[in-house]
Amino acid sequence: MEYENHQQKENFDFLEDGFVQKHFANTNSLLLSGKHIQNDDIYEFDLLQNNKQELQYYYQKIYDLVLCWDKRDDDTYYYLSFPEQSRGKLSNQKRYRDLTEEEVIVGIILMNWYYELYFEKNKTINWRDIKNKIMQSDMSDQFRLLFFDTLDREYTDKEWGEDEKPGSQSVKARFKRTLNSFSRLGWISWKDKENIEFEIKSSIHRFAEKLYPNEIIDFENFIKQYNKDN
Amino acid sequence: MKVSLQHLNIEYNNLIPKRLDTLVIFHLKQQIKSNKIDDEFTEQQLKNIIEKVIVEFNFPEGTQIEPILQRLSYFFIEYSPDDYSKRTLTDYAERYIELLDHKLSFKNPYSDFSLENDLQRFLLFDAKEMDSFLDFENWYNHGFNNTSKKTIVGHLENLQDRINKSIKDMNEILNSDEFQAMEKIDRFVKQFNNVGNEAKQIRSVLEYKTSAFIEIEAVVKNLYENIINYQNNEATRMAQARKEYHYALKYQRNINKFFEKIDKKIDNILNQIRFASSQLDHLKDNFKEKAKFKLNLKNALIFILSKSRYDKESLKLPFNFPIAIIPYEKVNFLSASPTVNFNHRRKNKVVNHKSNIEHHKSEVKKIENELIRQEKVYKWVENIKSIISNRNEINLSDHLYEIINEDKETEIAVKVGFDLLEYAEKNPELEIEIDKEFYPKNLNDIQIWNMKIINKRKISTF
Repeated sequence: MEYENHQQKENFDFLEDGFVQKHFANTNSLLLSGKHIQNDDIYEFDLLQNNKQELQYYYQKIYDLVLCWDKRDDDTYYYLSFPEQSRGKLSNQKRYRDLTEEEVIVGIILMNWYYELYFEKNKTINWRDIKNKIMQSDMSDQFRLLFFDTLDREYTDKEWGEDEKPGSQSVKARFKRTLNSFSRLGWISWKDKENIEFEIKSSIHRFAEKLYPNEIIDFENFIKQYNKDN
Repeated sequence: MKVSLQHLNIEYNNLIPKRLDTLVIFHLKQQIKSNKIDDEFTEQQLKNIIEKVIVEFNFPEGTQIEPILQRLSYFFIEYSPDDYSKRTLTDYAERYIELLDHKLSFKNPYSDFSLENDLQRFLLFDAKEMDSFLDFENWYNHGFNNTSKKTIVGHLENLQDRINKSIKDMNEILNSDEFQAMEKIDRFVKQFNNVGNEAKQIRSVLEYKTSAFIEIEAVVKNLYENIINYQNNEATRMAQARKEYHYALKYQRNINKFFEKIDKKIDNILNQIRFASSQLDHLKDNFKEKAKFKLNLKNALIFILSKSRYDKESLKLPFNFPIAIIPYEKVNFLSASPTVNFNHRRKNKVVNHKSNIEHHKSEVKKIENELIRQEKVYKWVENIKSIISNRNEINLSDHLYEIINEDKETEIAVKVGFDLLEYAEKNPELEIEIDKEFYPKNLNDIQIWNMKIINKRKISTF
């Protein structure tokens, strides 16, 4: 479990502040819905920047959750996490959720993409980039097998999701639903939702560093153990 | 622009050569430059070059030479005026080759001109020396449009191309070994410092624009006074003066717009440089750790791609791969209407109604939608207010179409429009200007008047 320990301010006085009162409800609802808040959520980000210690105490007392923040590539992001060994007061099944299998797969793809564009300020990807990645990258065979289940033929517009009413199993639809969910989590932000163009946010680091540290950061040990167990 | 889209469509294939044809004329020019072929060459020499390119770049065997000659004869190759048995490259071909060469070698022709000299020459003028509208128009067309503008754009394009190329190369650093990487990082840090200094120099040279703005304003004012002077007696001259004034205003607006765009471009370039430099600094101290992280990420990706499985419903992760959990609480706000009648005190029989789940869901959905709508309206209004505070004026209609386009809900745009008009009306520093002409845009069959909000405070400080 991920856990951050910052110095807390142990009171609720911050709730008296006018700006906090105006923007707290929205910030709270975004954080509880799993969102990672970065500086493009202007008011929510400001509120968190100026009251982080107080809010950390608040979430610990009221929800038994940890308010965490990290800084990657000059951008700070805030999010809620479970304390070690527990799911806090969100332990009720309705109050947390598993990532879907497609989210985990696309998460690892995007995390890699982030590092391919390490020096670019805006890490923007569009649908053409995704198609090129699948058809022309050095891992094209693996991508194509995973998304089409075959290497032996040309893929139809329907399979890509290029026809007028793309089915839910098309590649485009799979990416779209996962990216929609990532947008709600704040790991990407849409530039053009209809045609699929988005920016990968630095908060996606949480995926690799905090949600999958054993499987990604410590990959050598993970794979040894995985091969032994399976 | 004078050419119609239909005309361009017809000529396109002759104007823009295919890849093979481009390689041929480019190689031909290389041979001429290195004196291996004369400026005026024979058809056989041209055929030899075509054959060489076909072999070197693996074009299909049996590619016909005659159609290539035919295509090039439209705009790229012509008979030599001195000797009809020879051919020569056309001026258009020369310009096309030069364009490709400059783009790929980062040598924009205008970037060779001194920006400072050019801008001093063309932007530092005195309005008093502009005796007539024609002088001003001449300055606008030749001094500004044909010279200053092209030189500025050339310099910036050259900078942007170099930055893009460096960033592309830099993204490979994490794949190098440590020793190589450190060398590369040092080289890129120097390169970026130079580019950053160039961008800052361009910005300081561009300050000449301030002087140009003042003089242009004076010219426009003089032209406006001409209208007043001719009022009441000389109708034809007044009509001419009015026309000149409107053209001058148009030129002034174009110049302002151009410099606004350039400012944004320079900001963008400086931001890219700042970000890439800070990434370089960070990498210098943490190279080992970052390179290892990237390698592990790549290995994890290879593992996930190879072991995950296609499935119609949802792709499947490798067997036993853990699934992470995240906090997820959906917050719903519900409201109940307090309509209780306290006068009737009658015993009621409690009837247990079967709850209508579908109806309940749809009501909750309605409330949620309403809250989301209010939230969107608030965000748009706050955003546009902050834009107004930084500008001389905004075109409200433009923003309303932007909202309709983005949110697909006319009601949101209407509410934002009312809120902003109310805000502008109450604020003494703002003025609403409504032109009862339809705004020249039509989205989802919605047409609105052309509405502006003018920030008087901003104008007076400017």
